[in-house]
Amino acid sequence: MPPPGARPVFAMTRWGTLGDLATAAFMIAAITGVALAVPYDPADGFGSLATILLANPAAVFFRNLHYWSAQACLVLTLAHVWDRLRTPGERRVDKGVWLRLALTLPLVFFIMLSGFLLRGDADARQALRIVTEATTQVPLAGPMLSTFLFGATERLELVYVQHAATATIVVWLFIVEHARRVWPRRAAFVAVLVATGAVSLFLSPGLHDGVDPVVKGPWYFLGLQEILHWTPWPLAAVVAGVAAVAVFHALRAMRPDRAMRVKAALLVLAAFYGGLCAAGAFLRGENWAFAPGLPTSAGNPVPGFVFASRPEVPVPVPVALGRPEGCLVCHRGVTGLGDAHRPEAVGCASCHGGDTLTLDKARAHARMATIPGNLATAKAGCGQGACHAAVIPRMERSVMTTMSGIVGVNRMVLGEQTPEEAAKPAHIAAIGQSPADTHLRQLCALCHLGAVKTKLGPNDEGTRGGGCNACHLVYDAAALEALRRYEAEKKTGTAKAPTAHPALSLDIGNGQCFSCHSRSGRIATSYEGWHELHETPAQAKGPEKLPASRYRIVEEDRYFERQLPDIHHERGLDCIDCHTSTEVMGDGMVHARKRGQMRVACIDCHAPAGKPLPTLPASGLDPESKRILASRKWPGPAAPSYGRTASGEALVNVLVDAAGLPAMVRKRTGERRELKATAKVCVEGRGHERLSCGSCHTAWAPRCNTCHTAYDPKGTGFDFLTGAEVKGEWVEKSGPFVADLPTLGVRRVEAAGAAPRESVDTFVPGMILTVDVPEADGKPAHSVFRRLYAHLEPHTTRREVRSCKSCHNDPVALGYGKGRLRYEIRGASGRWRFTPAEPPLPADGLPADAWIPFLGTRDGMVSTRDDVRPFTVEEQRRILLVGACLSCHDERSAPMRGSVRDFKSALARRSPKCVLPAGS
Amino acid sequence: MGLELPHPASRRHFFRQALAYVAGVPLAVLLVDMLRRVRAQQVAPPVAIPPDVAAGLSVVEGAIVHREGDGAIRAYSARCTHLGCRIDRVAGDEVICPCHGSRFRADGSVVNGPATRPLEPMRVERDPATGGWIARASP
Ligand code: FES
Repeated sequence: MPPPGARPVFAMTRWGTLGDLATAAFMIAAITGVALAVPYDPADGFGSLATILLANPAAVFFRNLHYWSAQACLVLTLAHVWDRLRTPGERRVDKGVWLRLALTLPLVFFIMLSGFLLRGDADARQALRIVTEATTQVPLAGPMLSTFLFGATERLELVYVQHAATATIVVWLFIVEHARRVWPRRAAFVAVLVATGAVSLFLSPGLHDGVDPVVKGPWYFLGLQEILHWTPWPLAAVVAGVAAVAVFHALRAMRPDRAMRVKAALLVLAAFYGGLCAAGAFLRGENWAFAPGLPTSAGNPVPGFVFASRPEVPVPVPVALGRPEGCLVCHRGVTGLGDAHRPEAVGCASCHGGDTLTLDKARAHARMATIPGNLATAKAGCGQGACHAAVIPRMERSVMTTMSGIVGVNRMVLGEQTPEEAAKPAHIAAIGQSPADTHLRQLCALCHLGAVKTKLGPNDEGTRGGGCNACHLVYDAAALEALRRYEAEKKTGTAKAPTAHPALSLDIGNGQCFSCHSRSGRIATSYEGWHELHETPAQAKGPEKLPASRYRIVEEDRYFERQLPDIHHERGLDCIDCHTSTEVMGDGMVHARKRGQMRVACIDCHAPAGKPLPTLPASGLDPESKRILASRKWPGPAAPSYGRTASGEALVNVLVDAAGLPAMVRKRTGERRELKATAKVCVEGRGHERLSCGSCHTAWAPRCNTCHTAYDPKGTGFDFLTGAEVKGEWVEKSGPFVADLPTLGVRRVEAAGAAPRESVDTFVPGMILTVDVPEADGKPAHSVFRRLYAHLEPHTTRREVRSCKSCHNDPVALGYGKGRLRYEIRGASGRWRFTPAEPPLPADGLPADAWIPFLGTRDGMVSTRDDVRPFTVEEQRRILLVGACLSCHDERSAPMRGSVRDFKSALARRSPKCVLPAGS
Repeated sequence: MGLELPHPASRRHFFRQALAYVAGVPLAVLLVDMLRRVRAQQVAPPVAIPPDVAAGLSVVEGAIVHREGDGAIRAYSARCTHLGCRIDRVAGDEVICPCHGSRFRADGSVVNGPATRPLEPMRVERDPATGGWIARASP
């Protein structure tokens, strides 16, 4: 060990000591800082740096040089300090000079940190808040010191002055006093300039636009960020910093041997802190959670030659949402997005992400979402604060996203949950790997809003879901043609991004609904008058084309045959003309079943004869409805009031004029149509009050009577949730599909503010099926048989109604299934007989298509829903009593017409020839 | 330990220094007063909450807003009580500070640190102009 008081021996490089190099780096940083001051604007730090990055390569170079020389200065200063401390001899330094040297360390950190703050980007703004708060917490002088250094607002002007003037001048004075020279050594200056200049040509510090959720401080403070993550007492970190400087200062007063031990301890601490910095860089991610990996956040240095050739940048630099956006330099003239989403207004990145601050294509597109709007990422795009933040949480809870009812019913049917358990809210994204859940994963999990859209183009049978896109991404002819060209060009490697963009629109056509709703209950196809066939029509196998007026082919192997379309379709109404945004995107509440989210009813448009339509005054519209109306700009006079649902939700396209006359506006076209009240007969009769509109006005419903679902452990299935093939396959075999009048049953209707009531409604066989459930969780393989009918609004409404006999004398309507139902009179007594058409199923002895036995009923699990039931025996008898009359009297006859109004008195007036069923 | 005044020149030196300190004190007092007044002028700006703010938790500028099922609104300052970072994202039924990972519940209470204090509640008033609300920092 050298004797106390010995002259320190400095490590020499060929360009001078580490101190010389540090001084040179400091000087380069100071000079480039002056150059950078020209394009930099502290009032808009982020904006001015972003403009530099896009349009001023020379300024980028100066910024890089400023940054890298500053980093070099910090590293070299610390290395120089350590180099100096390796040998004793602090006492040789004058007391005052030593104090100022000790103070230089925190001052250098302050200059570095304030430089970081001047970025004004997302990281810097958070860092400014933290340092302001941490300084404020220092007892006594803290608040004043914080205001003195960083100001009392979150602005950068004061920080700029402290960085560029105060701290820089003070440190420079200390350096001059310490090194006893004003200018750095020329060799050191040139060496540092060459080294940092070379790096500056290829590596530019990033700028964090705030889209990336990872927030990190400068690299040398990542250790501090890590420490602060662990301690609820941030002041401890401040104290530790001050203590380190104090200990350094105290070294001069220590005995040399003790000083050496303290220095060793300081070195260990510094190494430990360095380790923490590395941990912060490589092991931390969003919300400072553990996320090992290379640092990728937007604030990190970005590689790329600063003077690489670049597209011509317009003057001024394109700005979107108040920030420079490089995307618009290349993607000019994009049309089709509509007013609200014009690229000139919102840019590209607010939806698509990517790096907006580079003109290098690869870098710009590196973290871009070609298809934004998928629910998983919608919060960063469509749902960001300034845009549709309120909608995304609603969508996340919508039954169109959760499929809650389908998940619950499927588990109940396969015996994995009791009806009570299955009645609780569930979410398709959270299902597991039980037999029921894998069944869903393979057969159903594609039709929900959370399904990820990965293919460009309109949604079709092959691509479903896609979050906001599922409904709002609308391709017109120009966008389709542009896409076709783009796809063709991609094959030849000459693809240029299309400029005709699909619209983000409220004008949602039926096609958007079709891809999911043409399945299961098939309401989308039934509405348009198409019934799916189970077999391929024989004609399709021949050489001739199927007549398009009779057949429709979907997805190449689904054949549909013409049936009566819904009257509303004939009159030009789209799905969105009846269904509200709440029904689709949800009301923000979690619902276990679809019925909780549904709102509209026939009587919201067709007032019961003689009664006015329930309305809302225009002034009472909710903000969303007002906004929709404002953006719709329908022609014609504004309405003084609007229709509303039973739960009070506005129907913005049901306009009611001052005279109380209602009209419906077709949302996509603005065309108005008068709304008629119901027929008198709908409201005047006794005995039919419980009937829903659909029980009479439904023309037909698709029925699939039986199916068999089995699990083949050797097969290969496709899991729609993970998008991967899996071992073991669920295979479904269904019986023939028929288009027939629906069965009737009873539904319990619970509306807010009204007593529950019962309604006769339309039903179809939901699941008359046998499932071969594989072995799982210790349960051996077994078969489950279910006979469940499902409530279905078939969407085949007609103005004309089904005949009286089609209910009162029809075995399908009553739930017995197809067959011969006849009323036989023997002498003075009559009785009903039923001969089923379908053979009995061995599982329960009932005909294959039956819901209930003839003049019997079933309890327990009878439906996919818990609020419905088949007719009771008493109800069947009452229906059949009328059926007995109808077996002799024409339904248009006077007695039968009269009976609609008052059946009891009509019965009392019956002729002695009438024979009633035995027991009535 | 007393002051050593070995010769007259040092005494003069002492008085000069003392004078400098005496002159410095009022300047320091003035500086502190200036800074104090600058701070006093700063109040967090009010936050306008739109009428259609989402149900559940959301971030609206500098406020964490919680809208309950019945429409009731509560608001908290989005300033993290650990070290003042702006909380700008919601994660389900909680908000998380991006800087050091403190988590808070919808009622402002802490789920996990480093923060130990609940989020600062804001006063919420109806805003007749927009149909929404205005949230102000509690005094
Ligand atoms: S500032 Fe929020 S956790 Fe530290």
